[in-house]
Amino acid sequence: MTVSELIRPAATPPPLSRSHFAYGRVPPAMRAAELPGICSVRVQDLFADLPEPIHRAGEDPAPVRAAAVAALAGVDMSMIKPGDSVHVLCSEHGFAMMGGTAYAELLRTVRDEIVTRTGATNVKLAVSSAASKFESAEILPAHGLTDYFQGKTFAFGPYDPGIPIDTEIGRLYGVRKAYHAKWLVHVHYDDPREIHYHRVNGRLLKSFTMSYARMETRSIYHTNFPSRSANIVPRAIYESPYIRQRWAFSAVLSTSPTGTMGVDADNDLIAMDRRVGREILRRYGKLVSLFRTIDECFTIADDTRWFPYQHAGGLTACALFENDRDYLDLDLRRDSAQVHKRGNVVKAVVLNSAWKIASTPALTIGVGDRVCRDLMRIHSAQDVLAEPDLPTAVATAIQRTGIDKGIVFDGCYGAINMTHSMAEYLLERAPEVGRQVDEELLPRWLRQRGLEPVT
Amino acid sequence: MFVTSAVVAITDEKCVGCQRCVNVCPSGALAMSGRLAVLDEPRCVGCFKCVEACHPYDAISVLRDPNPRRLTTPITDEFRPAVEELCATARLDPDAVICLCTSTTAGEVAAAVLGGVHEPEDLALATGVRAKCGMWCLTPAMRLLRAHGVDITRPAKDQRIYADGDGAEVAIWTISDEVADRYPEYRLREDLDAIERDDVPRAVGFPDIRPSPSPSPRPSPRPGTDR
Repeated sequence: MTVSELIRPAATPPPLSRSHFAYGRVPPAMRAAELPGICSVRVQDLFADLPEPIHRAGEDPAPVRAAAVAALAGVDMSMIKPGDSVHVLCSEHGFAMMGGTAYAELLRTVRDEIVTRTGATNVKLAVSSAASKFESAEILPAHGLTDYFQGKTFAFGPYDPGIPIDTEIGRLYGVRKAYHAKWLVHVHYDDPREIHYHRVNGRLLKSFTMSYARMETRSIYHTNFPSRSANIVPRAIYESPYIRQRWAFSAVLSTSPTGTMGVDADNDLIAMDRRVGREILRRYGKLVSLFRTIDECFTIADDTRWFPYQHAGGLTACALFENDRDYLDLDLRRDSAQVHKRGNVVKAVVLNSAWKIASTPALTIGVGDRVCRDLMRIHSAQDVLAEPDLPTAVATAIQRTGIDKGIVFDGCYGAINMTHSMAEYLLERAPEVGRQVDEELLPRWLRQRGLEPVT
Repeated sequence: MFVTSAVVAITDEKCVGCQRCVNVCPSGALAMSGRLAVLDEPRCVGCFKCVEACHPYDAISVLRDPNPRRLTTPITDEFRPAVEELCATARLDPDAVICLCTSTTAGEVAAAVLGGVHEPEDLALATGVRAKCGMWCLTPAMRLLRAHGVDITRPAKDQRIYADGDGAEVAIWTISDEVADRYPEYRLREDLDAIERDDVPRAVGFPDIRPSPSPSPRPSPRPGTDR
């Protein structure tokens, strides 16, 4: 097929609902996918080897449950006795992926399996919040989880009272109430967001600092280690006697740019992390590398959550803000060609929908009175342009930047909504990126991590 | 540097005197008066941690700041050599932005510390550091205080900073060789060597770790912390 034949009508993103945390609080009057100038490219038209998912946003989550039951069948739960307390630890971001349906179904299935197989009924859902513990008040009822866990749910944040955890690298602090149970079950996801932090070198461990730890320990992770070494911090917590005494097992939602691929589960988090790391590199490596070819663009924030964590084709927007080097490459290459000084490639953000607070260094163009009022109040020290509607805001972005290559971060998996010029740009570059990843980069990434080559 | 845009207000009728708000305020703006929390508004930086801590009592609300304040400490020419020396001791670049929320630099914090600001809550007011999330800036601020010889102590109920885990003690340069060798996948020895050569590629959003001003051997593991 020709490039023009691979450019399709815009894909329909997951719906947005009212949120206390969003600029303007109400869903936008118009989604970017409804704009006349927006088209889409299927991620499998970019890279034909991306696998078919078992579940997409909006579909019946029964395949996720079946995959979870199958994966958990291989997990030992015999340490959990009927009278024991169990905390099912989860993180807010999982509910931001594909509408959150798949992650919620995984959490329900984990609870059911624990109750059925062990007789334990004191099973609490412990939600790590990102900016505010109030997030759970919207998230849990929306997915029916408050009722499903029979009211045994709670949220926690990084300034809640801490518990000292003595580790091989020194004293670190967890959040006391997250860990206040006989047994801990860690339920996570393999979204590759923030590759520049975790480097796919302990992806599933990161929660022990960035979800379940006090702010002191989170700050240590971010500032006292280079990113390549920082995962020693969550690893030290995971290996500590404090956690080992409480550790039961982990389950992870497995994804790709096309959707949910399945569920993995294990008593050994390190073994599972190696499996998951391999799949992240295999499934997301080409799209990450393709985004690195983008030299300049504007973006449309049109999803739930903070803009850096909004999705397009399964990748979060922070992949664009951190695309100056290959963060999947674990070798130091200070002087190599991969370390560019191109600066921020995102020249403008059209903010149609996003959660409050997180700003970007790019020109920000708000859409509509309600969004703009919040933007100007919260980011009073930043240049923010206000436009009455989405078409005008996009026209302003193009006029101000002189760039017509735009990407929409609206929560879509399977396809990326974008402007026609961006579609042409990515389709033209994808074949060479695919070849380079297959022949050079993926073997290198795997070799650096001691992982088996992909056959 | 940070310009305040919001402050909080307390509804006395809803305050139950639990003190949770006092325990999380990064700028020392809240205190107890009898059984009620009281606000010293000029010290409020609008971080909203108290709003969350007050749940479910909802006694604290957010208002637009009637008197926006510019929180910064200039680095004067007179102070610059001392600022650079203190930052070097803390392994920070004076120009590094250590707080992504407020754009506060290591140099600003160092200038405030050298100017006699030695309590973390006063540093928030002097530079904006920790005035928002605290995720990036907490540890660098503690490293600068420690480098100046300031020892932070805290009562157990204080939820703002745990002094024995404040981030100044655990770092790549404190990892023992034994631990580094046990976990080769994190390339700790290689990264520390690169830091000492000033050879780690710059990364967006990360304050660089500077070489040690006086390289010393890595310590042995702390007693009682082995697996």
